[in-house]
Amino acid sequence: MKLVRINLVIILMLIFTILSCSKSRSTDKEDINAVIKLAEKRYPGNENVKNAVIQFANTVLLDLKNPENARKTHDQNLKSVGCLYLVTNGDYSFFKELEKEIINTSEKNHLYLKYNAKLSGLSYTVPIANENDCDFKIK
Amino acid sequence: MKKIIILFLLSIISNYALLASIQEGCNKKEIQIYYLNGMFNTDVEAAFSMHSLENKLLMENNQNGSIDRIFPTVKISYNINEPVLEQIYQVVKQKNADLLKSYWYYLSKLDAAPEVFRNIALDEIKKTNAKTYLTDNDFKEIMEEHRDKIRKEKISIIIVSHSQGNFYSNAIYETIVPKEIKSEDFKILGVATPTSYIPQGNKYLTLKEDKIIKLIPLSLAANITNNITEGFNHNFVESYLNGKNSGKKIIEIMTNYIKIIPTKSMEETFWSSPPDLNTDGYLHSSLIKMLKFIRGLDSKKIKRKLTTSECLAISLFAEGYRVSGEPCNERSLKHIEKWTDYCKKEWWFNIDANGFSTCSLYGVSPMTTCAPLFFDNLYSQYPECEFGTVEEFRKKVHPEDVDNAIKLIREPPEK
Repeated sequence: MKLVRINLVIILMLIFTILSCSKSRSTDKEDINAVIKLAEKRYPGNENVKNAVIQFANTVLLDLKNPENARKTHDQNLKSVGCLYLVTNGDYSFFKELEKEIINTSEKNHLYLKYNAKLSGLSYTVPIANENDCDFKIK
Repeated sequence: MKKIIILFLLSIISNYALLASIQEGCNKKEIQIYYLNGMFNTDVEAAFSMHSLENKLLMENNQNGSIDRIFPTVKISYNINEPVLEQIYQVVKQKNADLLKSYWYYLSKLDAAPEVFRNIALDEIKKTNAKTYLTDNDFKEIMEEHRDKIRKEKISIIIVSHSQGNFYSNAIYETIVPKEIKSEDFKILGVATPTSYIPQGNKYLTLKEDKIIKLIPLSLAANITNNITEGFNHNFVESYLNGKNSGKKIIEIMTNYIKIIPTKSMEETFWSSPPDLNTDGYLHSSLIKMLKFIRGLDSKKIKRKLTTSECLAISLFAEGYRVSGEPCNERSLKHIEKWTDYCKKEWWFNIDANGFSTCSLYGVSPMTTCAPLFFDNLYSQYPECEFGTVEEFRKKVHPEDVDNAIKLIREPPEK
């Protein structure tokens, strides 16, 4: 009987651990919600910033899924950075917070290392940030 | 309201660029600005940094109309050293894996990183030098990009290099200039530079409060301050570009570079052969005697076998002169002595030192930085001067040879 109780406690602890782990964000949707929350906190009611952070988060999350394709998907990244720069008027600290919010696990950070390593050696143009960088209509 | 202002500015910018291209651009050479990023930059951070630089240059241009030509295209030659970043990742993983959740964030903001993370990253920074940082394939790819721009597309280049990006910009400059083009067509602005020199005629900015660069032995002396005491003050955008004094200076230097790029065609600026050494312009008077000795070797007037001290003197002259970190016209025997003394104590005869870092003696490295001397055939004429690996160097050279080499630079033999 005592042994059954101990086992029950262990099982309950395991369930608790699994539930706790699942509380840390693991889906793209949760990450997107988190960046929207961050945008709302820093730029309340600003739809342009909200849309730009969604665009940026989507491109980075895509990079993390396919770091091997870095050189193919890179143009989309440039556009999303240009858009973000435009709508936040070059808010660097917000940009860094955003990057941190999206790349939020050790695995993602490692995948991002692989992604960036694939780009090393590449030269590319950074056009002046403009409305065409945004995949939504600026209001 | 902010959106309207941004759109208004953009319309002014594009109108100006168009007008400039019609009025002035046709007879002026195209310029491309390249950013060579530091070691902890993600690709998107490098892009954000360049938007910031581009925007500041445009604002300056709108206010003062200082860029009297087609506005330069801004580009990035992205580089990271994967093994170094992987090493940091793995060491942090062993010490406190939880910190890896913010690995990239902490790398770019070491101020915000916990001490254990910061120390691991700083250890790697201290170990980094040109030899360890430049990876063959990436360098080749970036090098070819710049060479093609100059040779095939006849475009002038301004490089803005931040932190370890300076290892790349110096190496590119030394490979291309002055063998292939005149230095006016290729300018460098080194920002937060860990290197011990910057090619002649180019500028650098290192903040006195940049605590990262302070850690790097023999890096160029800090030359500007924003009067900030807190933090590491190393970030390109936050510390340098947005810095009260450094930001203005970056834009001032860049604008001047853009102005001085010549309008001649590229064919006119190519040198058919390396220029003669200009002793007045390039070399300190204390080194003229040694120069004459080297010229004697180069013209095969000295036909005997060289002693170890003589070989070492040639290498010290070339390397010590090259890396002493002073403006070219101020580099002197005194600086070679200082550098040699450091290398003798810390590297050459210190058995715990595995590589020679900034004290490496390449022997045949062309002195393109300040004095365009070419030692390409030195080993074939004087094979005894090849020092080889670290172990071979230590077998061949003794501390007294170093002392004798310095004496020889002071008073070299005539024959």
